[in-house]
Amino acid sequence: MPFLEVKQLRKSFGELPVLREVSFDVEQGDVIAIIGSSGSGKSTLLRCLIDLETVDGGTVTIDGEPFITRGSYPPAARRRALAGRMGMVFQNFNLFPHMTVKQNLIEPYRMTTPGAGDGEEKCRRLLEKVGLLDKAEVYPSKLSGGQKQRVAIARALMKSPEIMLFDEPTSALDPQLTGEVLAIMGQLAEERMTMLVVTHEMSFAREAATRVLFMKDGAIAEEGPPQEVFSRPKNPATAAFLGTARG
Amino acid sequence: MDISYIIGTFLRVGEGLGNTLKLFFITILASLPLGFLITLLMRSSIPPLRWISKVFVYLMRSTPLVLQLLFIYFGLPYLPYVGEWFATLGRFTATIWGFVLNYAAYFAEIFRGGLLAVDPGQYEAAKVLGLSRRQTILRVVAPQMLRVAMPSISNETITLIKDTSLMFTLAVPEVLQFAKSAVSSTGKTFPFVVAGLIYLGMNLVITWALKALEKKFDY
Repeated sequence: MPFLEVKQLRKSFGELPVLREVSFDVEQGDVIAIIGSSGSGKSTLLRCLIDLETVDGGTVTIDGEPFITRGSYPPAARRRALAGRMGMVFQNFNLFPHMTVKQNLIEPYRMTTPGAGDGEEKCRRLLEKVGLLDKAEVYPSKLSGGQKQRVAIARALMKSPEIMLFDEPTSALDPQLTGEVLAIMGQLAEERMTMLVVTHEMSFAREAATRVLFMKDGAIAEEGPPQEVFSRPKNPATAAFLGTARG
Repeated sequence: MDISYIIGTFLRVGEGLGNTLKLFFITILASLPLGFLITLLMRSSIPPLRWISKVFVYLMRSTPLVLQLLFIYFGLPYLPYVGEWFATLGRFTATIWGFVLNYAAYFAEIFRGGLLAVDPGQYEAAKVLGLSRRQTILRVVAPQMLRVAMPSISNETITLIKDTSLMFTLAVPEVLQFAKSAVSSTGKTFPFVVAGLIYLGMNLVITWALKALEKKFDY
């Protein structure tokens, strides 16, 4: 059984359908790049999976446990617990500005996992991993965009998520800062972290992803291993998108 | 004007300081949390709570505080059923109620503005990290809201110091009251100068304390 199973997911904003019957499976260790032009429903898909949006229909199963069953959700505590098995990184980082880097990692950890220890050691390890141990006592306002996103990744990893969702993690960054964030993500991929990455970075999709989903008008128009999707796209829409994306 | 007269006047006018400070501290300590509660009610998902809190804020901000004090002390006892309880309120207690409710309404508006300044992404980050609603409000949103609201809160706090003189409405003795009676019994206006100096002194301390507090929110 796949680790994450998404079946016929539907979602509209008012009259406007943004997801039409989206189905795909994610195996443990998969790195799935979700590509497509803006407005194609990529971000909404991630947001539905982590319960920032409520779907209209469809079924989502996490590790065999039903998270959404034909559009309906389990009771609040169970719903929170299942969404809590995923971590998310946002385009705009969304670090807590009134907390230092270290507090950004440790405070939510202490609030949500009482009795799991103070998290100091874990925080130190993760900041070391993203190369920002020396910034532990600094406020986010003193960091560059790339550094902020690395902190956001470390913060999401504090609760040991089983799946990491990245919503255009480098889109708000200056081009010279995207590399440091993609490097961390590449490292996570090598460690076999299960990842869903909405991205415009075709080089990342090509090199780090195990599978690529191309979305168009709220549906998956093409999916496959990166080498196939990029070199021999079956759908003319994919070819057209990749043509423009290569610029 | 000798030194013993000056000291004597300060002591006489200063007699009102007890009530003035008591009203100030009770009002600040009670109206800030009450104001935040009203802010949350104004954004409640339950419509009647929203309406009631908005009407309350409108009433409190749109009528003079003096009128509200008179209404609480002289008007509310005429209410059926609950009037009897209001009739037992002392003058000072009625004044405290009036001040707390009035300032809570102002703080509620200030906090509402502060809340609007908090990035919606902060709520989303808190949610995906697994924080409860309560944790999100108290640990993530409130500190950021306070930072934005701090200058307006400082302003209201300084206004409150001066507003305490409105205690005279229900004839509760305070600094200005003692100054007035000193002026009428001696025929000299110096006690007014003393009263002014006392207000200046209080605000000097308050301004300094608020500055220190604002620095704490500087991140």
